[in-house]
Amino acid sequence: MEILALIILTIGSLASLKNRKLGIFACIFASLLVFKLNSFLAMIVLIAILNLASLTLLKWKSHLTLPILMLIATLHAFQSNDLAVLIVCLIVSSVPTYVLIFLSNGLKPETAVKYITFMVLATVLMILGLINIDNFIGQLIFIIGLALEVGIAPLHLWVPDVFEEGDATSVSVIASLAKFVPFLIAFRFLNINTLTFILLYALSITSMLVGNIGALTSKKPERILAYSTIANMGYVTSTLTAMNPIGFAGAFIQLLANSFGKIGYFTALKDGANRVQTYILSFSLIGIPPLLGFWGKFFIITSLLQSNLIPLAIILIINSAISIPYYIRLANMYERGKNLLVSAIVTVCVIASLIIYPTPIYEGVINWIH
Amino acid sequence: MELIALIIAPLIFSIPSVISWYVKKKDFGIVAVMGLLISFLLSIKIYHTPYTKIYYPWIPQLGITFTFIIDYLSKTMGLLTTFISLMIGIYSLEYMKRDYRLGWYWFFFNTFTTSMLLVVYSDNLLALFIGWEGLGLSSWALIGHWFRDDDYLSYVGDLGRKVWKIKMFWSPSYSAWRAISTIRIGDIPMLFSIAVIFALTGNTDISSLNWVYIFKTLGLASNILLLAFLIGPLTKSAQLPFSEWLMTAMTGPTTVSALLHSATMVAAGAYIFMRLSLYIRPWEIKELEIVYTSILIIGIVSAFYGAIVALGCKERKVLLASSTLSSLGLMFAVTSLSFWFGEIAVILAFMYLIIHALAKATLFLVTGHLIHATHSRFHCKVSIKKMFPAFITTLIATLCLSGIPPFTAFWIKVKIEEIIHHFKLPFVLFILTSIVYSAFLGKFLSLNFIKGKEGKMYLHREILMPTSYILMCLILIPLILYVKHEEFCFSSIIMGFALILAYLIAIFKPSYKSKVGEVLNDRLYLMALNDLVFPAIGKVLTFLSYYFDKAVDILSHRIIPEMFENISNAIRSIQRRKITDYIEFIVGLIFMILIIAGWFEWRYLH
Repeated sequence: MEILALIILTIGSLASLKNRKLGIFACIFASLLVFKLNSFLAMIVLIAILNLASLTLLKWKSHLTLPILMLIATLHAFQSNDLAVLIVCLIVSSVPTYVLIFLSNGLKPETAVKYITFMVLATVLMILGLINIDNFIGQLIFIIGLALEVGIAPLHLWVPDVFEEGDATSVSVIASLAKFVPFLIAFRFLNINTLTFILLYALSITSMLVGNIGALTSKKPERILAYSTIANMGYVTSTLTAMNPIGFAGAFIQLLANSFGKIGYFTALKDGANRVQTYILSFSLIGIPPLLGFWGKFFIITSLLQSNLIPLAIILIINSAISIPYYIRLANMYERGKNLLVSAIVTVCVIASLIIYPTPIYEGVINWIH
Repeated sequence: MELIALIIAPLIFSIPSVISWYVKKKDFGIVAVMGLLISFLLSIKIYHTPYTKIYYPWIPQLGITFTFIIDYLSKTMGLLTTFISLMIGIYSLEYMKRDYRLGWYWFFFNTFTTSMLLVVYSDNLLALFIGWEGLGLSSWALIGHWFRDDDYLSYVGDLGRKVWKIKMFWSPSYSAWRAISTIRIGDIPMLFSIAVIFALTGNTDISSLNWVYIFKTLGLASNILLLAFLIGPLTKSAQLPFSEWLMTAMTGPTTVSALLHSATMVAAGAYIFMRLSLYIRPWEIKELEIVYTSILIIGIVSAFYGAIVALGCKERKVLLASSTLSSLGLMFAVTSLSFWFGEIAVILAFMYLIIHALAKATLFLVTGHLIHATHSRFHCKVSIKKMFPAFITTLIATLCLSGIPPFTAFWIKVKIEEIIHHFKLPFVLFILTSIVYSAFLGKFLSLNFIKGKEGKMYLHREILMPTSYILMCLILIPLILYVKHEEFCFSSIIMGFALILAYLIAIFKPSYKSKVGEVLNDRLYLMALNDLVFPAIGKVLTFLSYYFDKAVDILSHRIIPEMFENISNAIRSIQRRKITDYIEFIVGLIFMILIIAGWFEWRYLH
């Protein structure tokens, strides 16, 4: 089925050089082919389609297949058990972003080079670590690779620069869809022993603190979003130390909330957004109940408490509090826009952030674990 | 279901009158009174049911249910409450006719009735506490009903008078604040002791609690527990250190004084103590001696204090308020005697409560009528001919309340004397209180109808007002038959004569100017406690908290933000946009981690 989807995508991407709509239809059809009924995966499909929609704002034509390629890799990774397949999925879900970062309207080549350098380094380290995952050093290398790949402090250096200089829509893909597979692999293959535990614990705390405190005095919205992504990666990493099912669910729900917030905010940078919309996105990212962001943090904290990691839970809560000023500041930075497509995308993101009943998503993640 | 309807009906029926008032400025008080009527009819029905308990689950996981109990105490008290509420509701239809915020009045009047009924029928301490808080809230709202403080008829005390640093006059809004702040002091320890009771037994139903177990486990500490609980009732019943709020609560409308501050709300404190005593069975628990002794002393001293203050009072309503305080003290004292003499003491106190409630509410309503007619809150004479019903009612009510021999209170007082004479000091104080009580009631009658200063009359042809207090007074008369007259001893005959004598002397010589009287009129300067001592403590606390606040302010608005700003700038200064720097940093970091890990592995894992 995946092969069929890939073929359709290839044809669609060729057709989109003639007519953009054909490409979009091919994308949606391909994504439906690989989709299996699961509300969590449905949310990932929604994210990919939102990415697709936001990428149509760019003037290039044939790149629309790239996020769907990432989607196929992501969905496939969720349904596969084979290490080799997962490595392929990792590569396929990260390589399209190299192309996407080149598609910026006012491109600085240095930015793209920066991004690609670190991504290649990260992917190589992750693969190296995955191959030696039973080995102690292998696990460490994998964690370092993961940290570089998703941007966990102190290996986050590329994140603020790329987020600021890259085009908003392509960055939104990097901030949303590209984050799932690395964490998925980490949850599946990482064994927790003393040293990896200490390392993950330290990485998670530094990432939260660096992200949240760094965002406090940032002035540009892109930079604030970059630091907020770093902080969110810290929250997700903290569940790796707990390693229980609620933690997985919390991590993925947090990733979903983060993705919706980032797509909404980055797309709104193109044109503008209503204050109500930006405030709801901010509240979801802060984690005000009963929005989606709250449920992510709620499950993460529950899992940390279940594993007796009370200090980490307290640090997480303090960090959520620190994040309030800059999210509110961010919400006030936007003006109302005119573009219909942008406002449609932002509205979908807002509606997705307004999910107040997370049980289906939770059960979707839990089903995947079993 | 009837019981829920009975409790909730006043509150529900008050809502239309509130809406109509605030939307159209029309008075629909009659709807609110309908609610009271329904409640009254239902309480008559409930009066004829035998002893039962009714359960409604509330927090079933914790084993907490709304439990209501229908026993001798609750059904009688419920009937009394609904009857007096109904009568005063009818009275206030006329009395409050030209008021400027009737929506507020009816809402809180009926909220009060609902919470009072909750307190009366509830067997569960938590549900009782909800009603208890409702009492405090509506008391605050109704005392400060004339919140504009523009009508000097509603003040208490002589305007502009000052003794040392104390202002000797109190406006409605300030009195409301005094009341709620005093009552809240008592509620907190009460809530804590409910928590302790729940922690010990996992149950909060008064009738099914294992009181013996609680008091045997706690030993002497059980005195602290019960006293902490009883601080709530003591503040609400305005016993001695907390008596001041009741005196200035007279700034509220007279109907409010009649319902809340004489008949029901303040009596709720004594009622709770009776109910507890009935189910704790203190006569079987030796550990509780300290509590019951101290309540006896507090009660009897409060009774005496209230009586002598009433003797010196120049204002009609304040006189009645301090006599209420006196009666409540007597109820507490008599109830506490149950520790030595068993159930009979509780029953006696409860009978006194009923008589007192009816008579005192009647007197208050008459006073309201008098204030209406003379436009003065001080004692002054009205002509008996023009206000004959008021005169007759006052006469019957004072006779019934003071304990003149053939009337009801006398028989109760005889019984009380029988059991109290085992204690010397309480006995002496009791006799003195009774005599002074009878004297100031005589004085009240005389100053207002017979021998007082002539006052101007402004009659408005009221109909509902006299009707309601006459009806209430008529209930008092059959109660004489209700009390069994049995044998009585020599001392009670002497007491009867003494009471008659005091009453007659007071009627013939109602006022006597002296320094002592002035001091009594100033309530022995006990208001210094409320107006000087506690504010001074509060000022010290404010002073301290100001600096604490400032410290927090500096910490959270200067130090922490600046710190975070610096850290944040440091974090952001890493981004120098040079890819070579980044790669050096990251590769260095990776190697450092690998070296540390390698060392770690070599050191510990091999």
